[in-house]
Amino acid sequence: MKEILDFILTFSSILWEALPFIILGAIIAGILEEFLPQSLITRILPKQVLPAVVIGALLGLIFPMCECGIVVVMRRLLRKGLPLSCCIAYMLAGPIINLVVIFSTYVAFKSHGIADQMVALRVGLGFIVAVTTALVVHVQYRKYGNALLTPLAVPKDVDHGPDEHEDKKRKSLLDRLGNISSTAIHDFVDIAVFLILGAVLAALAKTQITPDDVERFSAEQPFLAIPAMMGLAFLMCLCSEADAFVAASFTSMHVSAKLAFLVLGPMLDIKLLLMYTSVFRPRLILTITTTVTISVLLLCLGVHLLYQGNGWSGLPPLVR
Amino acid sequence: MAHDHDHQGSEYYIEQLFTILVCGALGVVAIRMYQTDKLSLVLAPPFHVPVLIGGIAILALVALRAIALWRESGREMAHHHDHAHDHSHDHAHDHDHDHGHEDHSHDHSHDHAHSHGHKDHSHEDHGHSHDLSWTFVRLLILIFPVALYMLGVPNAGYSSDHLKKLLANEVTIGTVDFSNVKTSGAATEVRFNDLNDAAYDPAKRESFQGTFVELTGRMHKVGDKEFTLFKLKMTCCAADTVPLKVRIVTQQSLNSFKDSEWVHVKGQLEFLEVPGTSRYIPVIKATQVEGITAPPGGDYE
Repeated sequence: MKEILDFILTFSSILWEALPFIILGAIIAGILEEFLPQSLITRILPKQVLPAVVIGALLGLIFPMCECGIVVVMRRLLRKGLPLSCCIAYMLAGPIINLVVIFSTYVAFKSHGIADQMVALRVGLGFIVAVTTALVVHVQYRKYGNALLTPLAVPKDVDHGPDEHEDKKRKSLLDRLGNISSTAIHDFVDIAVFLILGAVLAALAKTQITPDDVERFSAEQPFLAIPAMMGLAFLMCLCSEADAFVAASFTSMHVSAKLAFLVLGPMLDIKLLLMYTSVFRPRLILTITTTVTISVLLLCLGVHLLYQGNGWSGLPPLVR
Repeated sequence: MAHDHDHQGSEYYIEQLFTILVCGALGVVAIRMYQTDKLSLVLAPPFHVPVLIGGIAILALVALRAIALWRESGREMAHHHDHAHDHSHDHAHDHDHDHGHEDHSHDHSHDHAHSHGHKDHSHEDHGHSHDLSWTFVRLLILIFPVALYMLGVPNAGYSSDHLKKLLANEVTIGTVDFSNVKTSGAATEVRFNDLNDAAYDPAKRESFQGTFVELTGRMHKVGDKEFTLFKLKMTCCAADTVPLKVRIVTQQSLNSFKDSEWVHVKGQLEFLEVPGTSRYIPVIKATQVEGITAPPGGDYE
């Protein structure tokens, strides 16, 4: 009985924290659907893939969004013609490369004396993983096209330009508000269902595994510290503003393991995975999942070796 | 919508109505949870107002949608009467945008390329099925948080079993020297965060070392004369709760105390090395440990 109540507490906390941001994302999605002209995106974005993807990855600095809200918004942006690779870059990097998260990461690690390293590494690795995954997706898109996306996310045909203009003239404010609310409620329901399911799974996982277990496990098996932390990030579904503080509490773990937790978490966790199913088809989800996981793993291992090679301890400063 | 409304119209409206009701219920629950302060159990204070705003926003959206639906059903009646006339370009555009925003719960490409001739209703294009059962599953899932609220849960913090799990791996600090320990005088109230931060900084450790302090928290026994004094820290939500800890050693046995009990501790603060590592933790050599009632602030620091 107590376990059930603990489970409900964990579930409710994940749900109610994310819900306002999903609502925000849904409203933004509604506004975008109604007001954003399809042609605008194609006009202002660079034609080549790499610059577009880099811009996408850095968009979070201008449009900060929580990882939950971003999925909702991104589906509508895709429909409006934002290139898939660009969307992926924004979706993956946005929750890390934004001022709120950078600041909270800094604050979380400040008293441990490794704030600068953690912020720089988190942002840097997040950027690399996002751009890499976006480029891989780009290659896949060239091969499979819109079959990678669910029907709602598929870009509309651009030749309806003239139609768009005609209709705009005839819509009243009430019509527009009606449309925005329609889209918003639709997207909200769509995504909220997956949030709830994800929160249930995450809360279940938490009844079985505590962060302490992971810390102890990693102490016993140092080579498995990075995958263990990645697994924990996946299961815990933490908001990217809070996860820095949780990672900081793992005081005995190496920088590389904490980094893995902080880079993977905002990109991939149970609730995100479920939300992806409303935007991407399984093949694309598999691509994103494997690319992100392998990139994070390799990059964090790289960081670990770098530290070892230079004799840096990678732990909060001990006795000086 | 550009398809046969005769037998599907009512299904569509029923589905929309239920969606509005459920979303509305969620909005109301959000606002009520804020008003009755139930949110303090699950979320850190900075996240309370967003829930309130979210609830109000959903209600606003639901209201707008209800109005739009009402107008749409009015238009629908008129359209139905004019059904027989030729389907002009105008008509096609009406449906264009209706498609865009009213086919909810269905995945469908807003396929403007399809013919607006009302004969041509290959619903495969849209990929939606007016499948009420799937819609109801989704609404049921969405109702789950509303149901929890109505059941009155969650209504307490984490159980003591859960707290024990969070502290399962505490290691004893070994025997401690109690000679020359202050036993009286003015005690400085300290905070968990300050002590744990200081553990990493030699200069700070110096400044705290030997001071007579007092601190309140819950007890988690580590040995007969040693326990971890803790409080919980919630950064965003209950799910990310971590325990803030300070080790307490006493000269008397702790038999009269129970785990998870609230206690007030006074003693001399020192930073001792954890055996087997080169890390320091804050330790209070306690001269006074007394049970107290739970403080108004509750579990969270």
